Amino acid sequence: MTRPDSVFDSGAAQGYFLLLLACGAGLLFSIPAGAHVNDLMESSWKPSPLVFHLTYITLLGLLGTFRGIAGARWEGPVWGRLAHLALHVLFGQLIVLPYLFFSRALLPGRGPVLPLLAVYTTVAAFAFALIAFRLERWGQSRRVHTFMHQYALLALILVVPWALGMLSGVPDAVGLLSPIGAGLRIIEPGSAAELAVAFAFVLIVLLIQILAIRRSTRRNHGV
Amino acid sequence: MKMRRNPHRNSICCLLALAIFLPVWVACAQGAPTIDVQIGFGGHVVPERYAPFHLRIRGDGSATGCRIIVTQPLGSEWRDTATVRQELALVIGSDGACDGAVPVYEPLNPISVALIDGAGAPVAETLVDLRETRHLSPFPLLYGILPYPMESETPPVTAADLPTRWWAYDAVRILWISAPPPQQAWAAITQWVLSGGSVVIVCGPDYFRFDTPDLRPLLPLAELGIETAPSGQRRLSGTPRPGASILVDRGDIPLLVGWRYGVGHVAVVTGDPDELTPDEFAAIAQAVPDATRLSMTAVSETLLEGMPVGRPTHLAGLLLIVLSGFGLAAATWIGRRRRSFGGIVAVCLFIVLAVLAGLKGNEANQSATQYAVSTSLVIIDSLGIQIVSLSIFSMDPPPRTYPFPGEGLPAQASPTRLPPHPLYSVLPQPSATPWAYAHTAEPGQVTTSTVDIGQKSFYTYAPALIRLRLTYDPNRGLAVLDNQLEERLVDGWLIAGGRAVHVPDLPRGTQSISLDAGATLASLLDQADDPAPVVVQHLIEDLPLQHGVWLVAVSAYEEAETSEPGRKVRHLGVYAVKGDVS
Repeated sequence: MTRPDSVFDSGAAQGYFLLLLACGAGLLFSIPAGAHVNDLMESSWKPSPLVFHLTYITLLGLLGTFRGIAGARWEGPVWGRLAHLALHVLFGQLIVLPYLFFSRALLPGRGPVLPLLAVYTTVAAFAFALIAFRLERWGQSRRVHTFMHQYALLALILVVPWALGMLSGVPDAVGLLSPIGAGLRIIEPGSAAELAVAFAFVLIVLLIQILAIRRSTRRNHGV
Repeated sequence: MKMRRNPHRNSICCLLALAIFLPVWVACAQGAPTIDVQIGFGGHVVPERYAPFHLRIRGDGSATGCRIIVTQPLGSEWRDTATVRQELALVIGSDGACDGAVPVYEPLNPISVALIDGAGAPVAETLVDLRETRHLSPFPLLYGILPYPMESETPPVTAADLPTRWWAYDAVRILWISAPPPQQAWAAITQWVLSGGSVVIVCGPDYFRFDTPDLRPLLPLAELGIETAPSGQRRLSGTPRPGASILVDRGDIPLLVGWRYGVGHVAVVTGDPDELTPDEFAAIAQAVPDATRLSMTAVSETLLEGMPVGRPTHLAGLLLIVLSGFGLAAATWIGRRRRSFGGIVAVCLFIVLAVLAGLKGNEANQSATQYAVSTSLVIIDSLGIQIVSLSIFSMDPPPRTYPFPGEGLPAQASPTRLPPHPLYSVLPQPSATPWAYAHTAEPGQVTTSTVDIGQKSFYTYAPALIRLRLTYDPNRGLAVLDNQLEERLVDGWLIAGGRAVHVPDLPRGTQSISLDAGATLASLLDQADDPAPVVVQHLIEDLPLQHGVWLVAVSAYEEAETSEPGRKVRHLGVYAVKGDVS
């Protein structure tokens, strides 16, 4: 057990630098390459302006997972550790905030949805942090190596519902279970009902994790 | 006691049933109308050209409030299939008939024409098969009878078949007229010639059977009369208009006189058609030029290509990344010494960066994912025509609706750039039809489909009101322009006999312009601002600006107001007016 990381400690700082660079690369890719429409027509590669937003959602989820694994190894009361985890996720959000503001120029007329996206992504990243935290604690208690489990789960949650949602015959709401699908729907923007489903799902997941952590903490104290 | 059954009971029941249901069946049968549809001149059509459209409803069913939907399936499984669905803004008359013009894209599949009610339910439907009568290029059309048969197949038409919308003649190469057409067809024929059509009036000394006010300005001869040669042969005579020439003659006797009217060509057979020899007739058929087609699509596409892209620069993005990186490094360095102070520095620094990035984002708030240029060309001679072209480029996949300024049904121009398709990268591109996507065109608007990412062009034709008149007095070298347009004209060129003067502003009302100090048009265009040189250069190639007096004027090339964010639309109005030389 170690004392909780500061956001400026080596391990954490590396994660933030990676987040900053990868999201920055996504941002550069999202900017149309060409001064005139002809340049856009000639260019065979036309990345969507949403490349940045997809990178941002994915990497913030990854950061949450990364910090959640670290948080399980911290010492101190559980709720203090969770507060630290929330702080780490918020710090990650803070450092990509300039990119998010800059990306307004890439989504004409859709600027007002970006605060909503920021809130959703922060909650989703925190939910990923708690899932990783719980899995890591579970591994520790059973002396099972769970390092890849958290990342595999992250990939599954990000990709599978989104891919399923794109299949014909599958209800669109399935895609909203993935932060990528939900994020795209927030940007589009989707209907109020769709947004409510997206937020409800991520909040339910978050609540389940908090309740499960509380229950396991009580059980451990009881023991 | 057993009751005896009436032996006629079954017959009475059947008769009663018949008496009740027969009128209902008859009513039902009468309530389901059928439609007869004719597309093209007797079915003769050319792909990617407009064709006349005649619809007649049969049966007693009401067609009030019904809409006409034309659906054209395109392509094949190998090349990709597509559907063009068009709603025709035609009003069905009290006689159950309506006429119009529809663009025909690829008549290899039967075209479906349906009458649907307000709720979208089909009332009547029919399939039109044009496979046997389709042409690959424009064909000659004959109204009347010629003394000798034409070499190529010429579908004959009746008076009822002659369209009253000029763009319905789009598929015609040369229109031969040897009988007086209905009065209402003359305006459409004149407007078609103005846009590039080619017409031969085979009248000879019988001209006065054809004479109408719409026809007179179209002819290469003025002050018409009948002249009798010493041999006793009679012929049409008159004063040749500027630019008119004798195309075929018999010694001193002109047999065919022609000239350019607008972009098109008009020829008159002045000799008696019945006295023409086969060789003379063959010479006449040879001498008449084919119709051309004036289009503003190339201009719209050129202007679209040159439209600036609204976006933040990569340099600004890179700078933001570098500043964020330095900010995080600085905050980390400070935070490792004094954690709380590092946190405050990080929060302040990134909030300032976010505000700066937001301001930069505001600067580039004019960014767009859809770009469109609409160009409207109005040509005015004795009548006026309007050719509207809309070129769009979209990076957004969702369906988009573009308001179309023209009155007619929009047609899609052949795409100059094919949409990306996995098949195209490994196999030669299909040469027959490049319509590998669908669009829905409705009057006044064009809806592009979901697969439609990239550049597309649409065009439409309409008659134009004469709101710009030019008269020229060659003796004084003075032109008088009467401008009653709503649109503001910012640049104009007055051209007469190869000399031109630049008219920098054309306010509403009447103004006199002197042509004394004229220069060459090319030298004036060198000094002009964009996009005028592109437009005028395009018109020089099509319009006979060297003959007579012309005014070419352009409106301000400005971004139009659009309610949809992320869309940039520019409009350019172009006017070409032929002057009346007094």
